[in-house]
Amino acid sequence: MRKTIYLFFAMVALASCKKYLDKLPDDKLSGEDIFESWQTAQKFLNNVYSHVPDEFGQRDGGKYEESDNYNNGGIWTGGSDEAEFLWGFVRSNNMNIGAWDATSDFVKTYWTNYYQGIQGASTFIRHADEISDLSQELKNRYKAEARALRAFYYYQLLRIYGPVVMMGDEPVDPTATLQIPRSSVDEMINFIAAEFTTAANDLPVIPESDGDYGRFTKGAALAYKAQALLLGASPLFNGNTDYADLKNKDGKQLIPQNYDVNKWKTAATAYKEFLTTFGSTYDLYRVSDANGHNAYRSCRDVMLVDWNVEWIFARRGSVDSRQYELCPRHDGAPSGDVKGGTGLAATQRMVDAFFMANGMSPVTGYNADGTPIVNAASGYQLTGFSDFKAPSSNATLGAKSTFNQWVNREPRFYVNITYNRSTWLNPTYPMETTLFRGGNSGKKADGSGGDYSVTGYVVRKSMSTGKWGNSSDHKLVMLRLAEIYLGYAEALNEADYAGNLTETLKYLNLIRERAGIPQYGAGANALPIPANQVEMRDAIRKERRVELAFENTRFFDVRRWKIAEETENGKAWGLDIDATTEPGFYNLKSFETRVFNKKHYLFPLPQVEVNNDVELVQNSGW
Amino acid sequence: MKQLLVIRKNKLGKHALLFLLIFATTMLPVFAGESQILKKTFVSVKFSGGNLATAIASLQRSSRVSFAYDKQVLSQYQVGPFTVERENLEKVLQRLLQHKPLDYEEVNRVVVISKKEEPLNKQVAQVRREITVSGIVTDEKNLPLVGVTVGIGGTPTMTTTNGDGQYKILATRAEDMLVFSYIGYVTAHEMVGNRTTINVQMKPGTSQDLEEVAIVGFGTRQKKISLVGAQSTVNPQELRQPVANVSTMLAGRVSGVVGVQRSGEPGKSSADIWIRGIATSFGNSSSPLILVDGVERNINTIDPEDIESFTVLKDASGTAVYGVRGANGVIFIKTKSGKIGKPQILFDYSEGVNTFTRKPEMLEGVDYMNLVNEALTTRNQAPMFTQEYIDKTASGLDPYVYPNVDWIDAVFNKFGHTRKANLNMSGGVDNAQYYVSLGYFGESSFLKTDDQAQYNSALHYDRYNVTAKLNVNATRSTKVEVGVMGYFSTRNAPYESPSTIFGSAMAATPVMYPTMYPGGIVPGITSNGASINPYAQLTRNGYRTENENQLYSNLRLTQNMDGITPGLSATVMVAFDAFNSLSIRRAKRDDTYTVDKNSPYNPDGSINLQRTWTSTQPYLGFSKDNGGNRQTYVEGALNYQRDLGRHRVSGMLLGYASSKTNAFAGDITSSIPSRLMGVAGRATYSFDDRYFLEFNGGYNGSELFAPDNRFGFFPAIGAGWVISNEKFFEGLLNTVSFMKLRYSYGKSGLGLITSGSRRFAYITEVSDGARGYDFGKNSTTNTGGVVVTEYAVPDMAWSTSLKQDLGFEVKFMNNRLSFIVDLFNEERTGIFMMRRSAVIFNGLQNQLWGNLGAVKNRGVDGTVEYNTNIGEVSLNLRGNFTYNKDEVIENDVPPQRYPWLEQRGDNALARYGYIAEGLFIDQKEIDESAVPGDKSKVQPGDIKYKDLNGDGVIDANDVAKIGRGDVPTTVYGFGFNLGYKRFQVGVLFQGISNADRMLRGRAIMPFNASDASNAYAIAADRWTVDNPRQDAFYPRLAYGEDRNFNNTRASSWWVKDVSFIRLKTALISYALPNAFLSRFGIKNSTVYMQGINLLTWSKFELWDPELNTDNGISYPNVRTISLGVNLKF
Repeated sequence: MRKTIYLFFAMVALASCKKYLDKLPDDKLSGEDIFESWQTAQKFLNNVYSHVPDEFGQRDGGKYEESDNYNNGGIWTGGSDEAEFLWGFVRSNNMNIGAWDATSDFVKTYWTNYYQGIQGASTFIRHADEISDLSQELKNRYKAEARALRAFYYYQLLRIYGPVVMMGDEPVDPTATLQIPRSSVDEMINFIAAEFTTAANDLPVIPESDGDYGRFTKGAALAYKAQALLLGASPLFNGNTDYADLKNKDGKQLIPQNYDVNKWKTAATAYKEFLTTFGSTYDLYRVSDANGHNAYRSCRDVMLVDWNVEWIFARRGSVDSRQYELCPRHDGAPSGDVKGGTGLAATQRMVDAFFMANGMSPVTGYNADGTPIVNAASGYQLTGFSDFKAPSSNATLGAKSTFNQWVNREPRFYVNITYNRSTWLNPTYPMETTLFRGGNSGKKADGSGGDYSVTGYVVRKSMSTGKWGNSSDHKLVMLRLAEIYLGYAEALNEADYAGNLTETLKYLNLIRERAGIPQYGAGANALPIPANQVEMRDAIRKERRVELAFENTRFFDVRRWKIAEETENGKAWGLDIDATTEPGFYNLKSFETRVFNKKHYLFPLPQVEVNNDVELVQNSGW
Repeated sequence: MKQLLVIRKNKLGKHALLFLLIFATTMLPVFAGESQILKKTFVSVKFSGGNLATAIASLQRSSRVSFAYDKQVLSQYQVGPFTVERENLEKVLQRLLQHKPLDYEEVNRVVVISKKEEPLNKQVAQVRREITVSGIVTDEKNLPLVGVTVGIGGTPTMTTTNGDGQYKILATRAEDMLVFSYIGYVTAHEMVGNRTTINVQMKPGTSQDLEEVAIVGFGTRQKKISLVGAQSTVNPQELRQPVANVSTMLAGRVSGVVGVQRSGEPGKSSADIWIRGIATSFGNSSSPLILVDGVERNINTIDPEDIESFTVLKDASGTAVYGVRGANGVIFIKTKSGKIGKPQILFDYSEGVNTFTRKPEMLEGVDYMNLVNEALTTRNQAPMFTQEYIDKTASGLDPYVYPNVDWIDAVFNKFGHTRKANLNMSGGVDNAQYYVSLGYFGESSFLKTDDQAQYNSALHYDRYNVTAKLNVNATRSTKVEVGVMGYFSTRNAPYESPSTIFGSAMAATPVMYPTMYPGGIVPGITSNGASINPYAQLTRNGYRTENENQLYSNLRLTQNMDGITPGLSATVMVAFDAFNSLSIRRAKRDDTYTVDKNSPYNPDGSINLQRTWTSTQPYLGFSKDNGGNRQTYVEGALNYQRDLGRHRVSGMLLGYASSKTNAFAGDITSSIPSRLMGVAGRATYSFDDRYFLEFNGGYNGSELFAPDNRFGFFPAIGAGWVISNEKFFEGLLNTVSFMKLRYSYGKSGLGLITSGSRRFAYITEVSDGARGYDFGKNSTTNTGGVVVTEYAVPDMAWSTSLKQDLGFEVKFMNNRLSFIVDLFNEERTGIFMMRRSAVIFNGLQNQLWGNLGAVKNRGVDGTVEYNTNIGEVSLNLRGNFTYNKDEVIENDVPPQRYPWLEQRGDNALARYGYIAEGLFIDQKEIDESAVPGDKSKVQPGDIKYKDLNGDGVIDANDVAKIGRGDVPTTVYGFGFNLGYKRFQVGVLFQGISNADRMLRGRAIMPFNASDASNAYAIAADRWTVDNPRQDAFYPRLAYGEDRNFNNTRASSWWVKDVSFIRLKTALISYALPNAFLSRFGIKNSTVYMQGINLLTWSKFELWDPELNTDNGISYPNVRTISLGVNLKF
């Protein structure tokens, strides 16, 4: 009897023990609940979207901390020959001098970011049909968005790392130990193109409502499909024998070793399909005033007017931090609205790349000591000063003494570059920005404190005409029609110079016409038509460099074209910001020596991945 | 719970179970059983003949029983040679005293041998004779001891000494045994004989004594001789220092504790402590479990005056009972409670002055400008300062335009201040005792304040501690103890944290701007708010007030259950703790101005100032934070202790549960109380005080683990052998008075998962606060994001630690010299960590967690102590050390490309970087060498790194172990206490070795920032073209981040040894003559002078080597010298 009583108490005690520790957070959202309703499923899809890179966030771009705290902004602007960041913590500064490797945090950041997006997209596609309160049509549309995002993320991985591991259609089992080899470039391009095509079928041509802007549309999907095909046709991935040894352990060649001109044709066809389908949807953005087409305003405002007719894909970006970098320090300014950080400096080579107002290149090349070879026909003057009124100058101000290098340049020069003694673009505060030592935005005279430009120039494109950091929904354009025109022209020229000449020139000239400079073989003051494929290639590349300056294409273009060993290597140039007198400031001076070797065409795969997946081969040279 | 069902099969278990169930939620310790020494002691003696006194002495030695006798009387009787083997002591005595007019009697565990009396006379004598015995009881310093209990053995007669240490008691027979007892002292016995005055000098209770007890797991008392585990104690007296936090006083004072004080900031000056070093890794907690009166509580806010005992449990025999909490060791603090006796009032007060142990020395203005110019011009850049500018600054004639400021002096005063007071009262009668204490601690900092500020931003910390304890014997067999402790503290501070201000003071260059412009106008340079004026941050940016209130309460009931079976008792304890904090912040920021360097003066002669910052908060703002938690703890236990002849057994069975709730949790997961419950058991057996065997076990779990996997069993066994009690050892006893070997082996665990890792790892976690995305054409909306942040690890468990300890104790010279040495080995497996072998391309937000890590920790710790008296001088020398070597066995990282990248085999906190081979000698060497970045910026005098894999590039493949980290392998302490008449001097040195720090960050890397920054004065010790020294502290100077890139890489160049020895504490005290004070009602008083961190010897001289900073930007540790008085009423 007593035994029974003890046993009874023991059981009561046991039961209460169990309960005492049973304090599960059971009122929380669990993994299974997410797809029960659209209310939470849409948040899941939002998170899949969040892996679209925030390219305005390049100051901290690539920052990686444990537990999901990373910055997916690229390091493409300061990491190319377009610009240089002032601050030492910016990761592109390490990259530029070759101080990076497979263990660098940003190498892991982009890899992590895009694979998380891929896993999220696959999970959404797998479970979207479980959503109980959504029509089949909408389910299909959102699945198509996820599919397009997944293809977009593979495209990003491909251009950063080269061919990577493809995860298939189903989400990954979290407990699985994965040992998967890399896919080839062709497999990836085919997959990406096919997925964009499939997705496009269920996507709307234009967003259904204002609130849907930013979602993948049919146009965005087909545009990126063409972009991916162009990447696959480019010299980096099309018969690039520098990567002959990049093979999986089973001998599979990852980068095609035989050049195939048809890849350009496929790309051109994709661009053509896009332009045909969306001929009435998109157009180059233009601003007219009393004098007709205003090229300066057109090229400036295409970046500033949200979702204008030229925009194909865009997101909200870190406008505050980008505009802080673009706005000079402006000591003594009457308002904080125009006092920024001067952090993102344009290089002299980028400044040289802009055409003259007559459409000609001011510089045709460089001497061994870094000095420019001036194109005498262009009228470009290396020295001296002239009275000049820039289009960026306030309407009420007259001409003023300007360094000759910056006189009579094309409108896009004034859209893109803040130079010494230029007028600030905020019409309320038409300040003069001085960038020499002791100037209001240059190094301090006594060397104490202050943010300054390391080249004597500041990047200006995408800068608001109001206060800096006016984030009132100013968006970041990821892809606009101009890039499609230029991609199309490039694909046409590479596929067949002579056969496509008319079509090539049409789209190249559309860009120049909008930029307000003479066209090739047409219009007023026409320039001669590039005489062969090589000349045309050069013209297209120059146009692309200028039109898409500071829009994160240059970094990938010089790699795609396999010219980075020239453009990204050796001394990088600016003006002499340490000169103690203003005239000394105008001298050319190298601010650093950049390092670019063959291996740098592709990022290394993160070391930890190569360690953990025995099937994974590292990129050549890393 | 399984154990219970097993144990209930025997009789003992039934009771255990019954009581566990009665006090289902709780439980407690006990010790019982009046020993009957004569009957239970067995002796083996070989006596070669002599008088009775020597015979009894040899019995005493071999039996370890205390005898009391009149040596003169006994030495009259001769005894022939005899040999006894394992014979009952009573029988042996009977035989020895046979036919002699002597009798024996056991009184208070002392065997008294006295003259036999005629039965008839005895009766008469008792009626007739009354002997008044009086005397004075003194301590080891010959000072009167107040409140000593004086009793007559075997009778209820009892008294206590008065304020002068005097007592008077009535004895009835010459054979009466006076027993003098006082906590902390060895109980003294004196036979009355024919004396009427008996003065006793009591000895502090440090010598080995049969009756000496030790605290073991769950606060149970156990005879010290029977310990089989490694544990050390701290004399609470030593913790009475003028510091806020007890933890800062432990390193070097007790073997096995590794401690480092990371800051001297008032209110934030606690130390990091580890028991036997670090035996875990991967972000798991390495902190010990700290229990105050049995409940997990904060060590730092206890008033040291209230501590009665301080025990560190180091090995498995002590920690297994704590199961999933025990692996990092346990510190058990017991607070004081009342003692029987007249009310005793103690008052202690001290007042001290603080200075920095070491203050950073920064460059002065002219040196700064010259070095900046050198850094620039030697790298082909323009100088920053003209000679005219430098000359004007040097002249000091125009300080507003050409300032030269020592910012460290500008923000810091030379002295801080410490005040400490404690008033306590204790006493009681048979049935009830009390202890009440009120403590105060106050500390002010070095930070300056500004007279013009309208508010108080001075940094000071005040804490009041209150303690009240009451022990009541509710019935003859039931004891009730109630204790309430708590504190409330207030910390007032500038709004900006001291480390921010400190950082600014090191960043601000001496020539940037003056501390203030006339009229209280704040200088400042940049429009974006960088390069902030440190003095303005300190005095003009507002203030914050932080309040904390803590209540600890305990209620304990102990029931003697001799009625059921002798030696059995039960106890139940309930504790309730509540904590809350409130932090109020009042921030503001003034406009800043700078002199227009182009036209520094206005026409009227005033300074021409330009505004550089327009404040958006020119008046005090307001914000606040609340924090708080509640903790309940219940415990119930059965204790059994019984001596059966030479066999002694004891047992404990205990159940407990605790729950802690964060009252201000920010989310659902953290709002769920942390809970623990478990059962602990102990069984000990000893034979003849020679052989000891002990079993400890814990069975417990917490809400952190999956229901099916929630409880774990943690057993430990231990054995001890007192070799000196063996018969064969007898001949050695004159030299080696005590020798013991002990060994323990067992398991404990660690299931406490620290912040940043995962709670509830057995369930999948979904975050609905994940990144979302903005959609919309003109305005955008973001409906938020949802993502699976963590996938479930259903089989997740605690990490398991297998601990072994081999201890050796030996004493010489009649216990005056003692050594204790312990060798330990710990293997920790299943350390909870994120998978590192998983690929990132699986796309998970976070990799799965698992019990994957393994760390091994081995070492030795030891103590040596020597006590002696030379004439009137008493001397105590002591030393201790701890050495440990931890080693990562498994880190779930796949094989590396190069052997030097492998981190298995390194210590847990190892430091990695490039290996510096020296400084480049010439351009040719640079051309031939690999560098980490832009080679065109590298010049002779820059650091050359070893290209480990020889690929011509310095990158991550050239990273190797370059240091151990800042937690030392070796901690030691040594010191002495010297007493002479009324003087007492005590000194403790403490040191660490084998610890390092890698310099990096602002100021310590001169001029390495895009904006300006000052440098340490040691920047003068640099490589220069004229003096190209390889042994310079700094390589060639450079200005700006890009030019410093090569030299600022993490490398062995910057790894500095931070070993040190310091005079940690010193005390000199003088006891004032009583006659002088008695007229004020003071019975006893001592004045003392005390110092902390008085002297430090270290190769590292830039800042205090204990600080947790790589560039010295941290509130320094302080040196305290205080004067105090201690009064007894």
